[in-house]
Amino acid sequence: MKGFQEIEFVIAIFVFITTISFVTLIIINNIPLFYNIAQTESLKSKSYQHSQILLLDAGYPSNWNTLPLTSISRIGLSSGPEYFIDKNKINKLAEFCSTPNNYETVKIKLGIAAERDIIIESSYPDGTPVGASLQICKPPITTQIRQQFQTTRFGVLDTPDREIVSIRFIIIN
Amino acid sequence: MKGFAKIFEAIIASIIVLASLTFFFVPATGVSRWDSTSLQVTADDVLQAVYLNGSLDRFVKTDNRTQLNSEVSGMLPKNVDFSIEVSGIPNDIIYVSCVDCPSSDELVAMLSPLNFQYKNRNISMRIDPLTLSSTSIPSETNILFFLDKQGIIDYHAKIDVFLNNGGSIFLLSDLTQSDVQGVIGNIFNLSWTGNTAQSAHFEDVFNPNKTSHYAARYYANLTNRTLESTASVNFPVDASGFHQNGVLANSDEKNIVVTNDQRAYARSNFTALNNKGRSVWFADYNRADHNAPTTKAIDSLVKAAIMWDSGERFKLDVIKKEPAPIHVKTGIFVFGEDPYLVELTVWNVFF
Repeated sequence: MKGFQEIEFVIAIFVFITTISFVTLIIINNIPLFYNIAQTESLKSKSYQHSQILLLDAGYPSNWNTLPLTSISRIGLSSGPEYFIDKNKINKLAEFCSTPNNYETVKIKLGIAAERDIIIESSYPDGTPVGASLQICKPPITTQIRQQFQTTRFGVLDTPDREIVSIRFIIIN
Repeated sequence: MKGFAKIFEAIIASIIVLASLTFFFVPATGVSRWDSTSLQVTADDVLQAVYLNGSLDRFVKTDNRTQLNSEVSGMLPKNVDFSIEVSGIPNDIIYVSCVDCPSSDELVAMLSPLNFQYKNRNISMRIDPLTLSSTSIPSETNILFFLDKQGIIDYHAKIDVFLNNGGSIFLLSDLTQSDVQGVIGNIFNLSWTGNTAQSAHFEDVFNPNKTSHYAARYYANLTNRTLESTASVNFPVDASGFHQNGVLANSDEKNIVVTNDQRAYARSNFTALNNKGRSVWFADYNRADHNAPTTKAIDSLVKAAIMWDSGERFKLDVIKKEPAPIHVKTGIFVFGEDPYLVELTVWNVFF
């Protein structure tokens, strides 16, 4: 009963708890912001990493474009030497992705996390598609709301003309 | 009073808690620099692609700035600008200002023809007289050419500034011991040893660390020789050729032509001032008849030395550009007939 009689004690507790609550709220409010920034940075990093694999790696096995999708361990567009791109691999990847229900399997072969989506585009510098269409791989449903980051890389086709092509890798969170 | 003390304590405690946790109030995150990383990756890719595509070497050889710039700008984002610099091969246009020359006729006679080919590249030498006492050095000038050694002493301050900005100087003159021990010797890095009359030859045509290798390479091209055969070319030191002189051929990489008894008749200095600018001192020779075989041979040697002195560095931009203070740079070695380096500098227009 003595505590209730001391109004000053109650005020002191109130002041202290208010302060602690204020500090806690501010810190908690920052968490989504930090999380968002971390997600964005992670997305940028993943976009670069996957574009690097796509451009510079031939995939495994390196003749994956002649095999069924289930026999492929890893997908890469390089013909072997760095910056040389195999047009047949671009076409094969487009063919895999255009087949219904293959998109998720292709994502696994590219090492993309299940919760993320990707769009891969290939074109000449003037914007003309390398294959039949600009987008060689994309999810069945695309959205503009989700956070995304794109990395554009350049290489040359492994043909006598060695035409320059751009590979645009878009990763969607 | 005891209650008020508790309130006071609580306020103090709150202030301490607030003050100690201020760090967490503002979401402080470091700058990731992904923008510049992306730009660097794009610049690397663009240079690799134009190199592997073959267009880089083709456009450099043909000095096709328009096409090269068009191809590169088509691959870079619209909000960036870029500059392309080539080093390791002679400039496509070498601007020579003949300082205080009454006319450029003598220099033109020495360097004729002024438009020529070097390994399928068109090279042009543009020669203009320049009165340095009353006129400033034109911005495009690569080389200040002196036929009078007094000019080096008179315009010492202007020369220092010019060298410091990456320009080059060339002195064609006989020297005395007092010249070598003064301003001229300092700028051209010369020492004196005493006259002899042995014939001169390239010091080392095979060592790429030495200026003589580059001069010999250009000389071979100008005289339709192989690099190997330039090793046996002798430049006489007599009435038909070089005038006698006593400049010491120091044991370094800067000599161009020397005698067997260690006299230099052409010597370079590529760390002329603060590691910038190139300079060449060239002993004078019989220039009475530029059709005489010996004079013609030494004229070609002057031309070869000028090609090296030009800096072997030029930009392939359509218009003159200065990169923004924050920029990314990438380079690639092109192994053509002569190896050379192409550097691409890219910067955001709005930085």
